[in-house]
Amino acid sequence: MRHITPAPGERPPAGAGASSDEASALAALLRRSARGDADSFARLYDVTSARVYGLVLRVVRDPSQAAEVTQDCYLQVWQQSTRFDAERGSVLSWMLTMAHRRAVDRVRSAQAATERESRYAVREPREARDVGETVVDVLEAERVRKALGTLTSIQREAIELAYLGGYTHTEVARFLDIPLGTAKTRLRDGLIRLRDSFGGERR
Amino acid sequence: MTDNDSTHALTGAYVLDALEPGELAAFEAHLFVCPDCREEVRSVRTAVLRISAVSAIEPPPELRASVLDLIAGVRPLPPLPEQTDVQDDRGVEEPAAVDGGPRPIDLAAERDRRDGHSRRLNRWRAVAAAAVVVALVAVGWGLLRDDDPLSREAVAVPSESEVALAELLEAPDLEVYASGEDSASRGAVLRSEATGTAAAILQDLPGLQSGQVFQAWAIADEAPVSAGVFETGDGATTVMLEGDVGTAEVVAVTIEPDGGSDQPTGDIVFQVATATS
Repeated sequence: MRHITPAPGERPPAGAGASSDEASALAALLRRSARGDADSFARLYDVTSARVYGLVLRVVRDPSQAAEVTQDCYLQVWQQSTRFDAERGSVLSWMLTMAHRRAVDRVRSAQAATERESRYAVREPREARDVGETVVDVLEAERVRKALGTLTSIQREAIELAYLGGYTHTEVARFLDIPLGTAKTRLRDGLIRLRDSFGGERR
Repeated sequence: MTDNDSTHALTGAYVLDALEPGELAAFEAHLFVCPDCREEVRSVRTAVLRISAVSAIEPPPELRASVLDLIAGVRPLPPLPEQTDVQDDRGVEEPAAVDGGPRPIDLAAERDRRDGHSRRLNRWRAVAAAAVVVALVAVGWGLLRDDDPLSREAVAVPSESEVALAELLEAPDLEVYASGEDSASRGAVLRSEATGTAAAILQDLPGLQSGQVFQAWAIADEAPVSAGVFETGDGATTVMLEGDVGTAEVVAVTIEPDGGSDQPTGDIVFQVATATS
């Protein structure tokens, strides 16, 4: 496995694609949380909440709903902390996977399709300017944008609509006015290219 | 990627949570039997999660207090006992979140243990059941009739098998056994003591000559008992199994002459150990 090498003095970003140190630090916080250590859980929240909340917000759009979904998600993390299996991926991956599914469930169950389409604006991703953090996170966002930039515009739009927009692939096909089979293929090709442009960090 | 390319092509949409509800359960059933897709899902998931770096934004400060307040009144679940089979327990409420495929075994066990999460779980399982049924209609569903044990024929889309499968998927004690390297064809056996039923999801079955059928066997104490005969046009099918599969240690499928055999005579094309640990 190859990692993007951080510049001297920088920490690699926490989470998916993070160093094993970061990942095991999160795993340690989670383990202590599992035994009821609320302070560790608070630290886990501090380290991960911008990623989790930001992703949920991007999908559901409405800040109060995003807060609600995020809260549900952390409750689930707390309750199920003993069920996390490090063999299967990092803590942040686990949390983000959970959060994304919850966000998507929320928008789909409450879907007033016409309303959402009129509000749709994901093609111009909002800058994460409020993220008061660290150079590290900014750099990670930059890397991801760069990797997304290596995709064809159809691939990128399809992936953003699906992941950040929370749309199904059928809806993505309609948005982009392409056949359903093409949408499936673009999503898959695009992700494979994205994976490869991240440097083949496969597991 | 030789068969059913359209199913393989869904890995991307799956990782992005972009499958239609009706497709999700069917694709997860496919993941059970397709190591290629499991590996692909695993390999792209990390990349997908990194996308969230571009949307990172600090939550409202009051959310922190609210979360910490909330969890203060909730007890973390105890650890699960060690798992002894291919399944694991991650993402109890999140069947689709698990790279290795869905794992109804633990989901069902969990449901008994934890009332708090049963609603969502039930909903997923109901959706899964409906979706699998829909998917099976599409691939050609074979029903094993039990009126004459040796002349049971596959019948297209019978409603009783839909019901039986739906009940099986809903079973509180659903067990799933995925085939391993020792099986020529890929597949999984689903079984529940509560419903007393079992089903096999099969893929990559070899072609049949005319005058041949597939026959499923439930094997306990090295004695095979027929679990029904079936055919499939495209090598992929899901069938409800007949007879007493509940105590079987192995479920196998062989190729037999039309009408089936009393004892297996042909090559074993699928097998999976179903001994309870």
